[in-house]
Amino acid sequence: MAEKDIETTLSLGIALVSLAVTSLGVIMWLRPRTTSLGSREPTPVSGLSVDIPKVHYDDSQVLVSVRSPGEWHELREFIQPANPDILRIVGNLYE
Amino acid sequence: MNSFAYKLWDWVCHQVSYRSDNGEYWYFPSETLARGAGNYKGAGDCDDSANLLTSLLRSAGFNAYTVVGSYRGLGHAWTKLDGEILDATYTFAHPVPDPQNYHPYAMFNDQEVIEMWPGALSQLFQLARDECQKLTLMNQAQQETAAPLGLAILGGIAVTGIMFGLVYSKAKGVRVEKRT
Repeated sequence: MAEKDIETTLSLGIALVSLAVTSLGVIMWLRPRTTSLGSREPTPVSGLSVDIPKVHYDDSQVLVSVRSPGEWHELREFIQPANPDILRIVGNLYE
Repeated sequence: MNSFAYKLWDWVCHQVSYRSDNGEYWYFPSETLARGAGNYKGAGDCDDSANLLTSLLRSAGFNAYTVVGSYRGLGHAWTKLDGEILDATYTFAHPVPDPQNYHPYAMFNDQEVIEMWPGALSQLFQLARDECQKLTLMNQAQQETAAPLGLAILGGIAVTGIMFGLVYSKAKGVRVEKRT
C-alpha cells in the first residue's frame, strides 16, 4: 500500500516537473521573439525639413549636411565624449 | 566585452526609445537625450542612438566608433567596439544574430573618420532608408536565431523526459522483482 502511494506520488511529481520544464522551455523559446526589438515601432517625426544628406571634403575635414538644408557639420562633432550630459550619465552608471 | 561597456550599451538600449526621422536628421547627443518622454531618457533613430552610445563609450575611455553602412541594403548605423557590433536599436543589449548583414561604409568618432573606400560616405547617403522594413528584417533575423534555440531546448526537454521515464521504469521494475 505504502509502495503504491510512493509510486503515485512519484508519477505525479514527474508529471509536474515535466510540465514545469516544458512550460519554461516554451517561455524561453517565445521570449526572444517578443522582446528582440520590443515595441520599437518607428514613429515618424513630422515637421522636420527633408533633405538629401551630402558630404563635402575640406582638407582634413569631412563635412556632412545631415540636418537642416545648408547646415554643415564636421562628422566628428556628433561624438561628444566631453559633453556634460554624457559625463553625467557615465558618472552615474560608473557608481 | 568589458562589463562597463556592456552596461553603457544596455543603458542606451533601455533608455532611448526608437523614433525615426522624416527624412534624414542627425541629432547631437544632448538633443537625443532631450527628446526623451515618459519612461525614456532619450529618443532617436539608429544614427542618434549610435552616436550617443559612441559618445558614452569614448567618455569612459573605450576606443569606440560609430559605423555607418547598410543593413541588408538599407541605411543603418551602429557602434563598433573591439570589432564587435553594438546595435543600439535593440530594447536590450545582446549580440547581433546576423553580423554578416552589417556592411560598414565609414566609421568615425571624435578623433578620426575612416572611409572604407574613397567616396563611401557619399554612397552611404544614396542608400534607401526604410525604418519599418529595416526593423522588420532585424526582427526576422532574431526569430531565425531563436527558432533553432527553441528546438534545441525542446529537444533537451524531450530527452530529459525520456530519461526520467527510463529511470522510473527501471526503479519500478526493481521493486516488482523484489516483491516477487
